[in-house]
Amino acid sequence: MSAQFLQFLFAGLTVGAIYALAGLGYALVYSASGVINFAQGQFVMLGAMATVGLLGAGLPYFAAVPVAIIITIVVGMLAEKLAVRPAHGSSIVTLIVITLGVGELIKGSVQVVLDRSTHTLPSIGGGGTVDIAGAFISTQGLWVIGVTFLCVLLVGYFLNSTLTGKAMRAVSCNRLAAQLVGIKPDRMLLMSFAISAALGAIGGILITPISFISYDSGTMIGLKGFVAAALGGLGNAPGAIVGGLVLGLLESFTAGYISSAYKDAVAFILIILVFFVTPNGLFGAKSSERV
Amino acid sequence: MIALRTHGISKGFGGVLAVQNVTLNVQIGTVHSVIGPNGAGKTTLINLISGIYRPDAGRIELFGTDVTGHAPERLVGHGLSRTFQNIKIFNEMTVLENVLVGAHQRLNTSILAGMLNLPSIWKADKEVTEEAEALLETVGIADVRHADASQISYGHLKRLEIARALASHPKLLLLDEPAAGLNASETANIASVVKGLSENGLGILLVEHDMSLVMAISDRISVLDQGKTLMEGTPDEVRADPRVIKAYLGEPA
Amino acid sequence: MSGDTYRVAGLILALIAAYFVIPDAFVMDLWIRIMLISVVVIGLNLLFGYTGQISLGHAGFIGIGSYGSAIMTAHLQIHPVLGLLAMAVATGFFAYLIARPILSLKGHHLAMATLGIGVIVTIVLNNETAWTGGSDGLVVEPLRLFGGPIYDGGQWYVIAAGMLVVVVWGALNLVRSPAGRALRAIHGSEIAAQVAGIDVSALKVRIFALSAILASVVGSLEAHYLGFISPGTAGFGRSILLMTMVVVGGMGSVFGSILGAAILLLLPQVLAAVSVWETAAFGIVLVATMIFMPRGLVPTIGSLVRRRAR
Repeated sequence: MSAQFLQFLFAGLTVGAIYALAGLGYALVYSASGVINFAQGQFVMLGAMATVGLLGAGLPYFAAVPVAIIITIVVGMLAEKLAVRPAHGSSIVTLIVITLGVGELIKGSVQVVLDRSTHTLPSIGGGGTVDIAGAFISTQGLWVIGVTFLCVLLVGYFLNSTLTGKAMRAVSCNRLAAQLVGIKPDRMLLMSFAISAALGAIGGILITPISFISYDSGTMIGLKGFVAAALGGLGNAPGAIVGGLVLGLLESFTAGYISSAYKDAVAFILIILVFFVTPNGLFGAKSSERV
Repeated sequence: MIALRTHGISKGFGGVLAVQNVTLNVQIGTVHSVIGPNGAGKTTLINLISGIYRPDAGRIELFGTDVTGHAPERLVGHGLSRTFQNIKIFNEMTVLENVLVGAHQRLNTSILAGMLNLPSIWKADKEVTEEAEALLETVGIADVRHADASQISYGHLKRLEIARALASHPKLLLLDEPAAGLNASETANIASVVKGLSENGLGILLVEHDMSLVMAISDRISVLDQGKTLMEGTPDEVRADPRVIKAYLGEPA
Repeated sequence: MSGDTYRVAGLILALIAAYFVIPDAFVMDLWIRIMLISVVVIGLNLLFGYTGQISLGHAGFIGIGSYGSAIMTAHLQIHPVLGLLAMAVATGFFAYLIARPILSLKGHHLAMATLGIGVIVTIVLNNETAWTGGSDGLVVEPLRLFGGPIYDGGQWYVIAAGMLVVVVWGALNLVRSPAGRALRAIHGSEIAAQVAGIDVSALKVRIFALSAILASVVGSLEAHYLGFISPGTAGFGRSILLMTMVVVGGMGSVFGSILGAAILLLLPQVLAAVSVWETAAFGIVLVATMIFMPRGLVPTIGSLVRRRAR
């Protein structure tokens, strides 16, 4: 296995991890409510930009990061309460437009409060590279993959082994039945927004040392996160993670072996193809309309 | 003349056979009802005949022509029309406009002609509008013709579905539970409308749960149970058949 | 027939009157741009507001028209009007090709697929720098009609206004026609529409192609009018702007489309002093409209007026 191949592989897994986190956010919100939160990408941007702002205000890194994540969680919960919940029951189109609007609002607010420039964050543990089989792998990249893996484990544990997590899954299976056993779907939806905001923020903070961030970075990441979630079957959490990694790898290999200019197109060409081959994603369940 | 003939049609969904080998004929000018317990496959049968599902096996003929597997919009040209059990009304339109849509294939429906407002369009529209208003009179909801379809009562909606289905001048009408959710007097009203239509020469396939309605207006009845035809006969024959009684009520204790 | 004739007549009078009231070239430019984009919004509204097919990549068609015209006139020495017509045909053809498979999708899937098309167009525009100049943009020759190049604002006003009036008239006619009813029926229930005899997929494809052609024509005109284009003209941001114009002005309303276009093009002017708030304000407008006035300004006001009149 050539060093170059390993390099691309690793780069793909790194960026794929971020897509996986964003995709997981989409999957959680979608399964709790059927809403595609087009503002998810802005959560990624917000986590990173908030950290930048807090560092600029003088906070040390180990304080800025959790505060930034909390800010993003709060924004996510506000978005659910003020924008998504009032529109409950509206058409898909209305919800898409609302979440797009929320995304623009977050983006615009960051532009006002901070600025339009590109920023970076310090690498965890100081940075540097490691030589693995001839390929130079950044330590930050290792952190990205490691922390993402940890997040995925935590979310998995939460969904499968805690009562609240199971309640969330109940709501996504059958909202009415969940209500009848005393679960509050609105609370679960709020929680799904909070968790996906946190996941997005963590992703943003992790990737910024490698690929930088600015107020408008969120859009592309969000779209690709959505592609990841759709690849895995909307609402399917493990599927979204696999989808994210697959997308990251495909992008990386395309950039490496075909053309780096068109790597962004990979996500969109892929999703269009997937929609026609397996409309419910690689792992999604079949759905049908009642006639 | 036989309006509708199904030959041994079957349809399965992921291993469950919703309809198995069902054969029936509907003559013009008669009401042929299909009854059976829930899950018997009645709605699937109507969906098969109206082209929404494609049968896995068997043939469907309309007025002698094989129309198996045709898309719903092609069946209108063969004289077929239907209503829906769970109402599918066009919500962003008025009651009258809903009926006008039913006349779609009788009008010039090209986008270009529409944009140019050609005389053929507005002249035909005028005629069809008068007809549509007459249809609304027939089903008894002419007074709400300019109301938004989303604003009228459930009973009115059921009747609007029938008016819309009639706008295409069908020769065979499929009615999927037209009396569901209606009270006794509304049901009686529907019964007289349907009977009147069949007396005027329309062939009617009626799926219904309301036994009094079915017994009152049907010329023939097919009984389905678990996707298969249990029996077919006149109302009296069906009423007396022990297999039908067993299918609905189960074995005596 | 009469109601719409009055409306179109009213529009013509308003446009003529406005012409004489315009104080300077800056305002003239603004109105020309509003009129041009209104045509795109009307087309998008026919697709989205009336027929219920969401398209998050519509700016891509504007970009195709713009760049197609620019390249044809610059590199291939083709007359601008011919270029415009050629691009209209090409875009219609392209839209027709992609429409049938894409419009079999619904909801989120359709949104993403259309979004993907728009993004792919932008990426191509950014990367094929030999033809498009990439992110540096492209200079475009002026429009030439009856021999001479058109630079004058007044002449452009007439062209844009003329186009708007024709498109408004056509759209109003279409909505009232059987084809228009069929589109609205598709929005209501595709299955019931099929059962009523409507060839749903064919009609969706045709209205998609029509709205793409309108966007392409405006793209061509815009390119010649502005004299300079860049890949942002086809971008996701612009597609969202177009959707916002439909949503704010009124889904399923022809005049609402014009109102939405006007409001959203004037908004940056109003916020000029605090231009950094533009994106945020935009987001608030989107969210607030969808929550409080989900049908948009014109239909909501129309209902209120009708209720008062009772």
